[in-house]
Amino acid sequence: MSETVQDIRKLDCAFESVQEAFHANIENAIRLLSPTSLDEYYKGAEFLAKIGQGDGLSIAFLKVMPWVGEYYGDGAIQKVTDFAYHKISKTPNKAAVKPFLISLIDVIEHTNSDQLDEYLTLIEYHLNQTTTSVHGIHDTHASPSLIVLLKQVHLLLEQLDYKGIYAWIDYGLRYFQDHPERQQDYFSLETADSKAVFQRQRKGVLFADLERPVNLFQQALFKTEFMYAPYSPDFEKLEHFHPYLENDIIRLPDIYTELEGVSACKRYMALVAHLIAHHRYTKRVVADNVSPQQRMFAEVFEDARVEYLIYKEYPGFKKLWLSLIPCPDEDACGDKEESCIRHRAILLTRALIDDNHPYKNPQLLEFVEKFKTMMIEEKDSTQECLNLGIAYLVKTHQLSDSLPALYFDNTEVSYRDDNRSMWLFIEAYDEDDEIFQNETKVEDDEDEEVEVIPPHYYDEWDYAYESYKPDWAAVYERLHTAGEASKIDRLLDKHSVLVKQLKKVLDLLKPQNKKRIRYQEEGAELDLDIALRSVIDVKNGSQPDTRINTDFESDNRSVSVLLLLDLSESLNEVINASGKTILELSQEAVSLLAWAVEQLGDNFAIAGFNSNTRSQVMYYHIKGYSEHWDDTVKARLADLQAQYSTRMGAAIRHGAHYLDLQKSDKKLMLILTDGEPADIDIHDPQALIQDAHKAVQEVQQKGMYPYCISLDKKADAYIAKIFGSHYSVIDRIESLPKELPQLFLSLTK
Amino acid sequence: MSDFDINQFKIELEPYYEAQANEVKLYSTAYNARLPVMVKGPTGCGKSRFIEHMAYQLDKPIITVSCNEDITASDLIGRFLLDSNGTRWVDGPLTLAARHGAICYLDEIVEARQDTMVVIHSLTDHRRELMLDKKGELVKAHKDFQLVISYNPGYQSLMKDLKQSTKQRFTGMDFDYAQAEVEASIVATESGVDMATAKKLVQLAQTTRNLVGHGLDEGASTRLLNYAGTLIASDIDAKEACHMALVCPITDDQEVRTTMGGAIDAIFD
Repeated sequence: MSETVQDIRKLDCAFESVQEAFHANIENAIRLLSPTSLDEYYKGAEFLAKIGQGDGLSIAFLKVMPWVGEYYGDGAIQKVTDFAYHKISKTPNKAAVKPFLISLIDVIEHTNSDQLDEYLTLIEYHLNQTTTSVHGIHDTHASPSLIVLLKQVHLLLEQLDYKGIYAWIDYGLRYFQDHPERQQDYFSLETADSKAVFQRQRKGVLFADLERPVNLFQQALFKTEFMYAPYSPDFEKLEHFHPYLENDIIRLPDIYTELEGVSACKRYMALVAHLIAHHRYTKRVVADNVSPQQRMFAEVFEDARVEYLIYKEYPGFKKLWLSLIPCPDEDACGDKEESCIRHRAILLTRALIDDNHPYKNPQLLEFVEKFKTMMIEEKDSTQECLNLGIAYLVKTHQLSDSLPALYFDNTEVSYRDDNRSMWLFIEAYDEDDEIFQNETKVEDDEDEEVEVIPPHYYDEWDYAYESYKPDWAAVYERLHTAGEASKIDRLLDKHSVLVKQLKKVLDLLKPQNKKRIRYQEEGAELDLDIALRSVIDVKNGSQPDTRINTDFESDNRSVSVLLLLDLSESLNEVINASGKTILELSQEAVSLLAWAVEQLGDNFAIAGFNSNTRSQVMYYHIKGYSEHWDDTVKARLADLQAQYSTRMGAAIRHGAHYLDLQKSDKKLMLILTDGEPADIDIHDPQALIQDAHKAVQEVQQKGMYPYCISLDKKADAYIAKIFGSHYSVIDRIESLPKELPQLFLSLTK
Repeated sequence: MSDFDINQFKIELEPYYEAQANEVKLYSTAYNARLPVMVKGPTGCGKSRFIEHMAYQLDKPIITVSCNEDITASDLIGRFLLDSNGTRWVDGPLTLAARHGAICYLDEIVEARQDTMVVIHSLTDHRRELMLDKKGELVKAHKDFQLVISYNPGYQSLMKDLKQSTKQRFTGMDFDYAQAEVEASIVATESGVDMATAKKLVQLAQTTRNLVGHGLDEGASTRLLNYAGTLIASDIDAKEACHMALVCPITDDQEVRTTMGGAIDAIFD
């Protein structure tokens, strides 16, 4: 610090521009850096000017490094210099050095002082993975995405932890390593995939994961059923959002991290309780003649009032809310240079709720007293809070209040809303031009003429990387087109012998209630009445009945069945002997099965699926659980068409979604297919097999029983990988109509 | 048979019961006319307690049968048993009550199979008699005999309901959890906690009752509140007691438990 301008050592560099930058920054550097770091600073700047990259690097270096040296300590500047030269500049990525240096400013903001190495390792990792070589061992092509990644460093470090950043980078590398443009899009956070993966890695707990407990909480304590619309305020930082409740919809942040030891779930509860407090107790007051500053203090009193009313009923909220309200020092804000109005507001906020607050300001204490008297005497109202707020501002007003620099530290209460429910702006309603409004409305109506059911998105399993690709496959559910129902009836007639055989089996399977079976030789317990009778018989000397036990049989058939039909192109193949296509045989078989299940009265649905890349997986509704086996269903079945490919995993997941909703003890998912899962956008034959396997596992975890009937003679090569032991391969496709219903019956016996 | 003492079924100490409306008068009148009564209401709201209380008030013996799926007609009527001399007839609870003049209380009657319950029909209409077919005896009901059944409509499903022919032999009384104030005083009296804690327990119970249909089949009953109160009165921390008595038993759903945890924190400071 003792060095004066004269003492400053000269920078050994020939660039005029570097010297200029040097003079502009050196005082700052001397002020911030230790002698060792200062030495590193000189060396680094001189070195970077001499490596043949022009003057730009040194200029950026001179600007940024004083803070880096100050924050990370001695050795840090040297580390950065070495990294920039050895790791970046020596590779084809020379252009990235400058963005790298500049990015360090953001890094300082979001890391601890011992985390510089972690950051450097991260950059090195990305750089090594994305810098490619075309021939031989030397890297020849610059990383297409390093520079855009460096621009996102601020967002990444703010929202994700290192583990999350690596996961996000790995995902991008996995799919776009060989595709420079898409890689660039991914790492600039522009694509939907990239954003989706980013979202999943964010720090904290997503509201989506807590929605049910929070919703139940709302119903349990307040008997309200407001809907939720989460917003993502941090992602784009376009506007500074606050939560609010309007039109029976609660707008709240989509993610919360733990704060002051309060878990995300508790924070959501605190937020919802506060919003409902306003909903219950706040009456709108006219805001037009109230200045923003007056409004601010009126809101402080109103927030305290509604919260008081709530914690009178539920005292636990006081503790929860208090733990989320900051408690800054009374004299944290110097009055001279900045406006302390927010600081005063937060002190008041704290004091109004906290009975043990540390503040001594007499005006503050006076108003806290006034507030408490008002609450105890139950003379409170929103209007009264407005009066208190205005009076408080008048009493405590300072000249500095109107200064543009606003003291902001530690003055925000995260769970509170923007109090829009408290104010009524009359002006806003004044000048509506209703004629034009009506006109535009008419146009709107015309736009919405076609109603399209949006697709359901399902994750897909990537076996190579052992993780899900989020929202990967789009499943469109459509009603299958209808043909002639009589066609199915003719098919059934043709199999009349088989129908008769099935009927016998069905009669045995018909549902009966749980039943006590008496007169058993062996059984669960002794049937006292019959036992006694037998004993009496013995005593009388006559032949006793030995069947003295009872047994219980529960043959409650509580079964739901989903039959999933593969409707891919390959079903159009003709089977040699019969001259029929696989599709026709499938129709026969399904008709028989549907008829049989209808006889049994089981809950039964039929759906078909095929796919044309991941963006178009079709799921055709043929028979719903509540529909009967009637002509509408038969007509749909008669019109089956086979086209495209087999993306089985997505179809299984979608089918499972509905099957899971059925209330049955046993849930059976039969999948009738003629080949392995495949799609034209997937070249790795294992990929969809593994995905289908994962889907099957998911289904089993949910308590359903998947079972595959394969018509592919070569299925043994892969089918066990998907379904474990839950499959049958039907070698003689001609026998399918006979085998399918019998298979079903034996499965559900 | 004659040495049988029906008075052993009398209730000696007065069961505590806080009347919610005029149910005491309604029941007494029904008893005086010997009308069969069915009491309906959610679990743990005081149905059985009310019947015991009335039996005490009327000074009549009461025979309670907890019904279950395995109960047979002979479990109610009676059966032959063996002894050294051969066989001996033993009256079942229903026959006992009818013969000696007691209130026969069939608790949770829907748990029993519908067919079994047809045996009570002849006792519940103008005939007031019971045929013991195995023994060949016709028991005429004692003048003090009355039949009371209870059931919980919450359990009602397709499988478990009474036959119309059974239902239409009874007069009905609806029970529900008491008003908050009354329920709090019940909890305070039964468990020995102070009134303020009892009120909080009731408040918590109401939060669970708000969740019926949203993850809970039934809210916390007055009985559970008494358990919680008893724990608190024995110096267990209120939050732990609530978790043990009011959260843990009623749900396994982790999310509902989270919610209940939040509610407990909100109610107990």
